[in-house]
Amino acid sequence: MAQISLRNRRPINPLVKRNLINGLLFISPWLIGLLIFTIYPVLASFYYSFTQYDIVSPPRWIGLDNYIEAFTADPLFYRAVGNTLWYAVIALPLNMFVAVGVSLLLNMQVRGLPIYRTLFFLPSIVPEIASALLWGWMLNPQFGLVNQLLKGIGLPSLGWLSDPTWSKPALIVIGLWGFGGSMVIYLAALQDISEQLYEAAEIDGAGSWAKTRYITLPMLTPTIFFNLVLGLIGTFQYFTTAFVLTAGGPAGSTTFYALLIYNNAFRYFKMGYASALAWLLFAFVLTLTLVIFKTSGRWVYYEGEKSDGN
Amino acid sequence: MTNNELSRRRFLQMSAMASSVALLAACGGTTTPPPAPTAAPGADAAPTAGADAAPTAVPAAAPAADGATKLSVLWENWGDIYNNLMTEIGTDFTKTNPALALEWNFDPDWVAKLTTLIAAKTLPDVTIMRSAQVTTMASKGALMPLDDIVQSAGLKREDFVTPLWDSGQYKGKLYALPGGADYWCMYYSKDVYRDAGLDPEKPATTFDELLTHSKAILKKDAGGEIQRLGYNPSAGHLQNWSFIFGGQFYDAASGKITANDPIIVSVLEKLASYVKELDINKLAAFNTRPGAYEAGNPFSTKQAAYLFDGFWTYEALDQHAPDIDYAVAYWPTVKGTEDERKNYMIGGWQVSLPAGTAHNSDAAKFIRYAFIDKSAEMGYKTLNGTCVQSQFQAWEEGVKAKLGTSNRMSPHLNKFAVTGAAGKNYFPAIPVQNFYQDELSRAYDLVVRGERKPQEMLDEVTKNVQTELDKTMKG
Repeated sequence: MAQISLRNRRPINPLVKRNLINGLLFISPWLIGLLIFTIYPVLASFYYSFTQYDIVSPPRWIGLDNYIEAFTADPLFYRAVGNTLWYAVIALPLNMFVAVGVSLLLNMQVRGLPIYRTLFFLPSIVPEIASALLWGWMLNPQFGLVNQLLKGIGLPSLGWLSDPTWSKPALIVIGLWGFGGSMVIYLAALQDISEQLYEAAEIDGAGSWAKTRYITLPMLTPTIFFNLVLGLIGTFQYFTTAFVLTAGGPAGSTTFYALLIYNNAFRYFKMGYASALAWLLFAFVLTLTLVIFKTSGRWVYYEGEKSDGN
Repeated sequence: MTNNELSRRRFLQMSAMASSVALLAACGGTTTPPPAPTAAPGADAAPTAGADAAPTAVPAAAPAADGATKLSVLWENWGDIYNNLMTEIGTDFTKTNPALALEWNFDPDWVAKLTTLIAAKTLPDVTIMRSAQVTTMASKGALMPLDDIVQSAGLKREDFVTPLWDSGQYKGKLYALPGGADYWCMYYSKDVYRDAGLDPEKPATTFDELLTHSKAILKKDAGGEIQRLGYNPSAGHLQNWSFIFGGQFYDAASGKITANDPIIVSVLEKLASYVKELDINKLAAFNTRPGAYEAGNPFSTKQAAYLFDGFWTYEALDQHAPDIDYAVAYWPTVKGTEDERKNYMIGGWQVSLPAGTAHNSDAAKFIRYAFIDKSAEMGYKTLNGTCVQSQFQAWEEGVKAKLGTSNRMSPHLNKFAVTGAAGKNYFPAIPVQNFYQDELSRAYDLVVRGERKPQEMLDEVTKNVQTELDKTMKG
């Protein structure tokens, strides 16, 4: 192997070298920014996670104490983990299901399609805080539009954001409103599926469901996989809407993991502990992502991939 | 192909040019400051939406002498109206000290900013302070002791609103000078009292009376939704009532957290029992209405009988509810006696000088001017409460002159002054104060929802906060 690599090593063409240097120089502002504002803070937070650090005084090394505190002493840790898991388990599949479903509908040849596509996509360009405030009014228990509609059809009004039973479902509904981003990606993927596959299936007598089941969904799996991974990371970092609307309440029912990190970092200035919480989250999400990657071979179909004969 | 490629020489030329432009732009910004705003305080009276959301820098507004020393002031962003009023104090100071000018920096998250500035050793000359931060910062040597400033003014502890003084102490020295005191009273709606068949000239004076009146005032619709509310309890009020009933949250001598003080447990039981009658979910739904300073808040719409707040609330009421008939009473106590007013909790803000700045003595001049010598003026100009006992009368007269005699608030200002002078309690000024308050809020929330019992919950709070406090003190 060593001989092969030695034999393959050739001097770099001066033109290529010059282009490489120019290219690096051109992206150097971004590279420097990445190093200073992303890589350094990430590495620093790893170090701080083993310290007691309040910014004002120098960090003091305390080993694994922050990690132990999370599992044994923090009264809100398990509550935050539970809330976040609850949200992720319900919101992520639901969001994907709705996005795939609506993109399938929007992929049909009907009149006014561009208008529908625009309408469904519009909410996802509304800033998250603006959308949260808007939904806060919509879901107001006493004079919100949603409860007025419920009353109008003879149903009892609900406590939405003020009742611990309904606070998480309310946030899931709000989150669902912004499915437009992933919907657009599904739409692009749907339009990339070859018409020939459907024509062949029709010749074989396949109906709509069979075409969806055996052509559309398998061909969509790389996109589903992509959105699943991104969605997974996003839902475990869920913060803004809950912070704006409920600030963790009522009764801690919307204290999500990211809010716990925020409070420890910027309310209590426990930077070391907040860093440890952040690294625990990273480890958990990384593990889940790796599991998804590992299992993706079983359910994700790539058109250009060679079959292993199974 | 090669014609389209950028030569290294050309790239460097372009980079150098771009850098020069950037550098020149940066230099231009620092050597030519923008003209100082000449707007009089209050001229920009309309509140700006989202004013609290972003830090704003306001350069010195006074006509400072050329080459005047600039003192940087880090302040909490209270919105444009209050920020402008604050800068007026700086303008007045510069008039009497032309060699000194102030550069205000208003930030809603001033604590994060200050800690970052301390870590970066780029300190402001003057900073707002809160009792939660005093111990942490003073113990790290980040603040200057201020006892000399007070002594030079010929004053001592008893000359100030003592809760603000005491909560600015660390190891026997003063690190945070009392700035603005929050002395709260009970606003009550005479309209609601009349409508509920209560005597509008006889507001509740005791806790029990408050609950009795509230029962008479409470109105629900057929679906059980609250349409009119008497007393509206909150997690924050657990602190006020606990002090009024004689409880204490911290034993400074032993360094022990005492959230499970039997008096506090009993107060939490009383509040939980009252909330149970209201139905917590109905109360929570009612509380999604606009807040006290917003249009359509329930006190303004005669759907709430009480509002517990400082004197400054008159402004929001003038704006949003010019027609309601309200009055102000003392915060009810256990027996309704004058002597019990010493149990009131007084909050507020302080002012500190970070250690190690080049302008400490000039900054000391400013804080003595604004918060000792001119404390009353600072108070009535900026809608804050004076912290200097001897200036309460001047403060009251100043606010009255500002409001005019016809304002609904004017006859009641004295109650705020009396409350400020009498109250002796303050929430413990310990480094884990925010955590302590959050834990009490959590306890309150879980207890009033019937998920936990007051005693076990407050035992848990005591344990959690004590653990945090011990850890912080050790660090």
